[in-house]
Amino acid sequence: MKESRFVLMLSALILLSGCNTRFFKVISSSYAKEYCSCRFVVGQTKKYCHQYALQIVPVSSHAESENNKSIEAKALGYSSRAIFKSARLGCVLIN
Amino acid sequence: MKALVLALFSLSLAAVETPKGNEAPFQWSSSQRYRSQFEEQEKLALDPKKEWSTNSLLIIKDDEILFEGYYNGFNRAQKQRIWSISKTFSGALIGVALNKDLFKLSTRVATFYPAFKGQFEKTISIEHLLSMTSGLDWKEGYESSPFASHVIKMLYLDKQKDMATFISERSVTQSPGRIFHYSSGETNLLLGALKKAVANEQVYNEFPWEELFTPLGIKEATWEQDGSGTFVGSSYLYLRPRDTARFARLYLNKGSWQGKQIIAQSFVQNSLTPTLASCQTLPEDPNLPLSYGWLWWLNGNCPAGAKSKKTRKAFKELPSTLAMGLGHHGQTLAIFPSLNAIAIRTGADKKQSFDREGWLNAVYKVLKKVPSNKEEGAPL
Repeated sequence: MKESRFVLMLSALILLSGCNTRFFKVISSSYAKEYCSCRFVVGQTKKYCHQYALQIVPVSSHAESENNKSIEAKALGYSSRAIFKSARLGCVLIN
Repeated sequence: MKALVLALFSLSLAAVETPKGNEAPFQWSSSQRYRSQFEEQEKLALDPKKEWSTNSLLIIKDDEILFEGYYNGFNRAQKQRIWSISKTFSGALIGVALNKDLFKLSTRVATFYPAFKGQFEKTISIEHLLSMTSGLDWKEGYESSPFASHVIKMLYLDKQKDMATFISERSVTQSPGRIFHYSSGETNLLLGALKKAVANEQVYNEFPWEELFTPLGIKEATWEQDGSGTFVGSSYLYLRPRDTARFARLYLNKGSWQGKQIIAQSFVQNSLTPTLASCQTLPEDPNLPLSYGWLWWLNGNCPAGAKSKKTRKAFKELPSTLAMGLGHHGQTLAIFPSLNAIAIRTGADKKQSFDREGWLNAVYKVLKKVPSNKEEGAPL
């Protein structure tokens, strides 16, 4: 049931995007950027930031590196990474 | 001996913290003596039946904190996202830049972004971007309309590598100056123009701190940049609520802070006065006919006349002089110049359903009864 809902949502997304699947990168990139800022700028918990950064389509995987202060997220075949630059300049997407 | 060491240490701290002119660093007083009177607004902001969540509430009058609350694991020391309230701060940076003669209001943006090609595009000025009247084609929109949204492309897709150039490559659909159209892209172009005018990466990177935050005593601030090193003036500033209030106080005091004019009084006045274009443009939400100044939302004061499309206040129970910085997820910075008061709310609200007007009404109802330092208020 959960899987069929996901397939339905994905089909709707493909139609709405006009088959521009490049647009799907927004799922992983918005997650990576907003999770990074939430964790390393705002200083919230992993659980809070995960919920905050989630969009209607979930990411398939995400990995936080506390040492490097970076986050990598994967969704719909795309991967995005955001890194924390400094206390003043916060996070930025790097791919 | 220990007392002497302590006394010397205190003296050395005082020497470091006291600014020129022997004026003590500004601090809010925080008796919260009217806290119980503000229960209704807190109840509205924290309604557990709703889908939003509120992270902080801060209400100040005459430099006194009347109510302060932090929720959902947030605390006073944490910086918080203010989303599009960042635009209002961007406006202040432009005010500083004008003071420093980095450019003029009439300076054409094409000076810095030659990508502007057409006849109309070439006439877009700094003032057009400040008032969001460039006429450039732009579709604002967030999670609810991601495919059509230029904001999503700008913040999260390839365009995040250089947001200002992205908007500078767009075409105008209206001649500049005529129509108000809310656009996050324009504020990023504005801070891109500032970067080009400063023409020094290090000076630009320090500009918000040197020219605004440090003079206001704001010690913790994060302002994120795009891939090209331009501040994301539309959306990515993070501040503690008490520091956001310092900025609001600057505008309540007509651009002056502790006796120093940070931005010109005339710039503040223009920022808080509805532009003709915003008064003559039909509101996107007919139920919310807010007008717009220079990166501030305003509750009224449009001149009466046949051409004005906003002849009534958007928030009927609130004063026409109310000015606001408004952000995604219901972030709110409101100043009430007639009461010398500030109200701030931060939160998370993906569905944009927070009742901002209801909350501000509840705040104002109490605020106007709190006696001011200058005169007696109505009895509480």
